[in-house]
Amino acid sequence: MKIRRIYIDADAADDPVTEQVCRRIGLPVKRVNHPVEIYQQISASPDPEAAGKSVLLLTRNKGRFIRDCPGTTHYTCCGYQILHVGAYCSMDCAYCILQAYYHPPVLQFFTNHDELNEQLQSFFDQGVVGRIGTGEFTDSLIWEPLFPLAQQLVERFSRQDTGNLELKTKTAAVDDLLAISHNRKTIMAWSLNTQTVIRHQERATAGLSARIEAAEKCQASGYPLAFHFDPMILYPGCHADYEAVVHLLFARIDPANIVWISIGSFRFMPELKEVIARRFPDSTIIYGEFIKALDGKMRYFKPLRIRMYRWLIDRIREKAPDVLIYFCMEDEEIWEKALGFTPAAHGGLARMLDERAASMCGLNGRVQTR
Amino acid sequence: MQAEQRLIAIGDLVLSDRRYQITRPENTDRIANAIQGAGLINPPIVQAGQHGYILVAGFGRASACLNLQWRHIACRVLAGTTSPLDCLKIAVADNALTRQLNLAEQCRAVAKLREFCENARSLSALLEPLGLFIAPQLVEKLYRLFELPEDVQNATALNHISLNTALSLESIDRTSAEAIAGLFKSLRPTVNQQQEIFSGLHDLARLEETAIDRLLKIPEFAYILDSADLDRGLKLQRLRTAIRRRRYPTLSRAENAFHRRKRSLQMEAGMDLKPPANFEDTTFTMMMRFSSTRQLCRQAECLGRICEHPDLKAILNKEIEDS
Repeated sequence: MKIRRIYIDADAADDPVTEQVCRRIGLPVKRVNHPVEIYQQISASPDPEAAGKSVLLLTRNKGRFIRDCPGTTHYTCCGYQILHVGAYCSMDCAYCILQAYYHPPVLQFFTNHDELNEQLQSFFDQGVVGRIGTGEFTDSLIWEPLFPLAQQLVERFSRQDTGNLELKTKTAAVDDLLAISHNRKTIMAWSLNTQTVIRHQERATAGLSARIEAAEKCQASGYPLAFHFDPMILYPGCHADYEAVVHLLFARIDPANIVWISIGSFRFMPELKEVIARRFPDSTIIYGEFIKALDGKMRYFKPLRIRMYRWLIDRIREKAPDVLIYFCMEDEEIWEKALGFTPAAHGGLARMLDERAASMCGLNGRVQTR
Repeated sequence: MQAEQRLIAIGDLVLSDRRYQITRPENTDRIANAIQGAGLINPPIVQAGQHGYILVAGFGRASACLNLQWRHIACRVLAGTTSPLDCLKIAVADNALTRQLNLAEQCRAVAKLREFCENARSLSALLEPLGLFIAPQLVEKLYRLFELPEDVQNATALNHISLNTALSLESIDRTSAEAIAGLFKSLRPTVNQQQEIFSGLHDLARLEETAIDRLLKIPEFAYILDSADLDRGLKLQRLRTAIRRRRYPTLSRAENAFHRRKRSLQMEAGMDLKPPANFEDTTFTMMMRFSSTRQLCRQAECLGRICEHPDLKAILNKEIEDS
């Protein structure tokens, strides 16, 4: 993280987390009564999306810490729940939706961990199997140099048996997690892509080998693992490149340790196109054969998605015939044509994944039909 | 305005100095005819410079008199103390108070006055008493238009390109921007068609790592644009189709396959089958319009027949042949 300035929201000034983060970073801080002045300053920058990565706002989460994944209409959501610990990301991926999701985007870390812990306890007390993760509005592991939140969460989840935590990342910074007692309640997950995509579209992220090496370390420490081929991007030569990723993955990782692999293709809100064109002028990912899909987002023309998914699934199946593969935000037609079944036949995608989590992570809660 | 009327040798006018020129008269014959008929009613305005008299207003009139082979011309000579800003104001007012300036002329006026104003708002306020009403937002756009090649400015002034489309050309190289201006000048697409064509060509050029002007020369497009057998409307239609086919090859193949199979269903008159938008959803629409029970019965019979047709199955499966 290359933070140049820290702002503290007045409400968060007395939180112990604030004090701890400030002590660790050692940069001068400025207290603000309302973040609007930070937003104005960032918006005035020629590259607000980059400017927002150099400013950290320590603030309280004024909404719920645990919330349903926003999903989208018309497409099947996995029913994952978000643990909203912070927002935005220090890495810089061309396709990142967060660039257009926040206006403007600013690195925010929430400091009211007393409320976070209360809400987590309520979540555990329900006795219902639930999958929860911190990697939706940010990367799960980028905050560790500032505050050992992931470490605390792993430890916290290890002491219960109804929910599992998924830490989703593009970093390789797992060393501090290896010695923690996790009781298999935390799934360590990596977003995977081809070397070409990582090199050209994912600035400041760990390389593919580093990610897989980090996964291997976690595997050795007994963590269950997950991988997300999302967003898959079509370009000349991409099939061979994705095959190489699959080959590299299964050369180092035992399929028996993989809880699930998700697959999704590059999709974006139309307004993201302008941001990518401006910020990543050499990137051509927005010029693929995209159509406006049912939820208003741009998606690859469906037959292209089906062909790409089938191909990747065949490659994965050659190495790991029994691993659970699911699609992120696709419809039943895609499921049927690319995987040969629909989640409805198995009680729905959320239930499929809950049952898998229960069996792989040793959860004892009730599996609900959602 | 402090000025003195004098008779000046026409050779003393520095016509090549265009620092105050707002209009670019294409054809001075009309002005020459008027001068021949009624004389030079409104003499050009000039200011003495180092190498002769610099024209401030009346470029068309001076050129017309030159073409009429006059040796001398009456001019209003501004005092040497008249500032460049005042000269520009006179140039703008001389034109704007007599007729509506087109977009290229407004663009030139704004560009020349820009250095004297702090921002678009103050420039807009400066222009108003000179007879030129340009909102500050438009002033900002005209600054940008002025940076584009003159062909683009002129095509915009002639309404061959909308101002917004012209401003989109900022993102491409100047030769390509000129090529687009030329293309729109010859094909006259509507505003929506301009956006569609530009966006298609822009994305294709990025994908194929080439420039738009070079892309327009590939046989697929050049064949249409150079065809002597096609009129403007047909060229426009075929060019749009060709761009779309190249930009969305799989989608275009799917559309062609759908239409071919739909034809093979040989539906009765009044029946129509529509695919979901972009083939994304799974719901197709069958429409039946009829005006008699006999027609409805024929359609019902046809419906039963096409339900068994292999091409309907292929349509619903959204099958497309590989290229």
